[in-house]
Amino acid sequence: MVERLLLAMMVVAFPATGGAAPVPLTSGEGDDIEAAWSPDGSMIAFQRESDGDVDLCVLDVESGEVTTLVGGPGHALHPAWSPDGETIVYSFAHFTRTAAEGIESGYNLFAVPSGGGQPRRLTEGQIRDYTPSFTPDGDAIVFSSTRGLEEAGAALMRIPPDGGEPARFDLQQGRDTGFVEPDFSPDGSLIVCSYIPNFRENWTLRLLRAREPAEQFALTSPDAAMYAPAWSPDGRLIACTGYRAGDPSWGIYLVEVESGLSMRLDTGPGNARSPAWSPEGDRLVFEYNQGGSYDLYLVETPEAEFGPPPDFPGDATVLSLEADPGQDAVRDGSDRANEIVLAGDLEIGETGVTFGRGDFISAEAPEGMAFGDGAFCVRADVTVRELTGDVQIIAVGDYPEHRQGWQLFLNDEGYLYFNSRDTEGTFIGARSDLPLAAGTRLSVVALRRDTGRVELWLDGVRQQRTGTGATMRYGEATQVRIGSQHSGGMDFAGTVHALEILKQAPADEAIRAPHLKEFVRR
Amino acid sequence: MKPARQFIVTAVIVLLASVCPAQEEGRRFEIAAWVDHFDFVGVRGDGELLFDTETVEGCRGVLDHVQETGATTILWRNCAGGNMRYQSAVESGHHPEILDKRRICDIRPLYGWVRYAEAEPDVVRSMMAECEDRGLAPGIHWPFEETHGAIWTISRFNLEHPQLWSRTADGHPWWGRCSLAHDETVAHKMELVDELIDRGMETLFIDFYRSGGWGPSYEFTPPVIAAWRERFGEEPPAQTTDRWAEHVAGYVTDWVRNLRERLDASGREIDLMVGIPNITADSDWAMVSRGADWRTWVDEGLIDTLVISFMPWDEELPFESTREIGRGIMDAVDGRCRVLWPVRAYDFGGYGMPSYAEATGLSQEEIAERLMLMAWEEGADGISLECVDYGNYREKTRRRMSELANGRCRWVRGER
Repeated sequence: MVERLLLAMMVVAFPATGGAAPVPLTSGEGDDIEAAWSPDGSMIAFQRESDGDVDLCVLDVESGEVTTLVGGPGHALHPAWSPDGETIVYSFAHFTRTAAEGIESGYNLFAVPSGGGQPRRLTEGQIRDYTPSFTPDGDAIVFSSTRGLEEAGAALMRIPPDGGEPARFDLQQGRDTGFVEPDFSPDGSLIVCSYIPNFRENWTLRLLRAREPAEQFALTSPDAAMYAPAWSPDGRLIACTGYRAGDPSWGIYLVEVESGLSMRLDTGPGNARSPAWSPEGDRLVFEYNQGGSYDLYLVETPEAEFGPPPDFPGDATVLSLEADPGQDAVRDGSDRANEIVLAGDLEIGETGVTFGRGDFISAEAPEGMAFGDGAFCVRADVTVRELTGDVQIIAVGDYPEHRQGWQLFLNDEGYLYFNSRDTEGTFIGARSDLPLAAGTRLSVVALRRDTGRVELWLDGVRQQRTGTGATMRYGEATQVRIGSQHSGGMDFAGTVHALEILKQAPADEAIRAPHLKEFVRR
Repeated sequence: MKPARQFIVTAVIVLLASVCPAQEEGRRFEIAAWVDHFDFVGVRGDGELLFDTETVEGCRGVLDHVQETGATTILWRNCAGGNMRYQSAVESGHHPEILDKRRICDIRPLYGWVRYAEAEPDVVRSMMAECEDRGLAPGIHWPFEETHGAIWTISRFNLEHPQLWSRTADGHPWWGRCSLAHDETVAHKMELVDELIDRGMETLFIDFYRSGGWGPSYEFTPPVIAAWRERFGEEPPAQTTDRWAEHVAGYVTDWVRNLRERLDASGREIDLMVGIPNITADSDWAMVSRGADWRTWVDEGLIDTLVISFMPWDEELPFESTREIGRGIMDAVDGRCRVLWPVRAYDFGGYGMPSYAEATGLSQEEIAERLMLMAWEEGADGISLECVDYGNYREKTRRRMSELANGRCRWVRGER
């Protein structure tokens, strides 16, 4: 319920007349889409579909006059302005013959003078190069491409502004993995792009560090579909196309970069997609199909105040370990004040409790662990000292219903798992995307939602493999044990810096926001 | 006319009448070939394109190859996932996928699909007519999917209607397909059916194996949940149960009813054929995994033909167990619709000819012969061939099947 309230608070409906109603900029039967605002704000480039062909056009914002820059047979797609406004880069293909007679090329990048002139080829090959974007300094063009991939997908590539051999970003690619429509932060330090890991997931927004693109952060969750990101000129927001369960259609969302909080603009019935910012950030242009086909519309950017992101629900804490090195003790700092038993030769220091062979901490018959079929959460900061090749239990909830009622553990390959169970007692688990690295401190949030979904978040990023149907009813626990299996063995070789158990699931933003802010500011 | 002559003429007429109907009553043993002409583009090792499937002439070459199997019904594939291979007024075409950046691109060169969506030639219309001219029954192979398990085939309708998307039990929207519980989804599909009727289709074959990964576990949509609450007075289960699958199957059955009505409304006799995978007489697999309640469809007379896509035969007794399962299905159907048995070149999900070969050591043509004869001996109405892509059925296999189709298995057993 709390999550729903938070969601309702975040999805702010702006009446179309709150600032000003969306104003149509173009009209006609074909679709006018993929708008891109010129750096001086006077022109908007877009693609216009007509009779199976797609032209590249520019709209004079003041006069409303539309000029075709690249017309005739073929598809001219995804225009992007150079920072100096002199050039528009786009993807283009034209097929004059059947495939058996010989296809000349795939979709390649071309550049055309923004005032009109002869297009110039930037890339070649029977591949798909698309959704180009300039770096803020104009030194390079980054784009999506199938170039060099062995399975269906879209990788990010980089070329000099005058063309040349494309260089591929070193990103994890799999079947149907896509990094599409990159856009740079105004200072050039970060890239946002639409990301999809595979066929079963939704598009989400992902941040990549421009200098080290493998360093990434998931800006939005796959619970909602989000794509077509555009960074605001002040760097604070990202506008995108989005759909959340319950929305009437595709809509324009504004996402706060440092918190991941988002709100949907109320543009009226119909799909609103692919927003682009004016240079001052005071207006957004987007494509909208209220009249049947898509036309370009303009809207004033609404005030976007999100407030602080939600925090973990502190009053739901039922166990909170506190190390007391002075007393060589560990206590439960929650209101429940459960009694904690130490076993073995634990190292209790300022930064947490370090476990060796045979060591464990136990809360015997702890209060507050009767979650019923509702939500609960295990939040822990841990460092794995050694990947032993054996299963290592970080924490286990021991219940009369099932002695491994829930578990947070590493498997023999070093993947971190969190599992709950269904009503039959069957294991329902979430898993880390990668094996953990020894020696690295990690913030873990493992939870079961009241829907029965099991999730695992590492450093604020939800791991892809989740579980559903975990609806086991939890009565009072026999014990909660940290550092080994409920009856011993499967010892944890590492340090638990902090560990809390909550009788509630936190909002996504509460988990994500602190880490996201750190990522953006780093 | 004198009485004697009148008697003779009458006798001749009666005699002819008694002979001719017997000939017409004999039903051809149906050889229904599923044809994905796109797969005939296939690039050989030397890079040469085998067929120009973007031209009518090239597609005639495809048909020539398919006819080598003795096929009597041609089930031409109308789509790639949710993208039509003709110029549809209501759905996206088999264009290059980057025309919508939400699709993830295939990596194959742009061969064989560039012109499928152009007005002329309309490959589907042309090939329906070509089949007719050749005395073949022209039909459409329409996977029950919208996606074909790859992002590049997601249709424009799906992409543009997120509010109709399927959802997992925990409310997670999935863009793979739009829910049949929404009237808009069904209406869209009926518009596509109209386009196929207009193109001359005489059989509509719905393939429930190709579901794009959809199943009742993706049907936790608001209208389905609301109906569940009203029907059972309780919250829906946290994950798919048999009862949930049966509930969802009601929507699929409603859709099949819609199909039946739509085909009948055309004023033509258009067969509705459904293909059920992993089928036995008493298994609920199709219901649980696909929401396909084929027994109800047979009971209500909604379908003309039940295609056994594949049966879960026992690898210890491949042919014996196949015969037993097939016989059980025939008994369950009890003549209320036609039944086609599988002679399946593909092995997706197992149980195709490659699996028989592994279990028996027999060659493809030997397996095909045994399966074809088995179907005929058991009184089946024919066989289905999944899929007659280029070379899937080897030359010897095609020749042997054609010999049987025009010889011993020409007519349905016991009907001539």
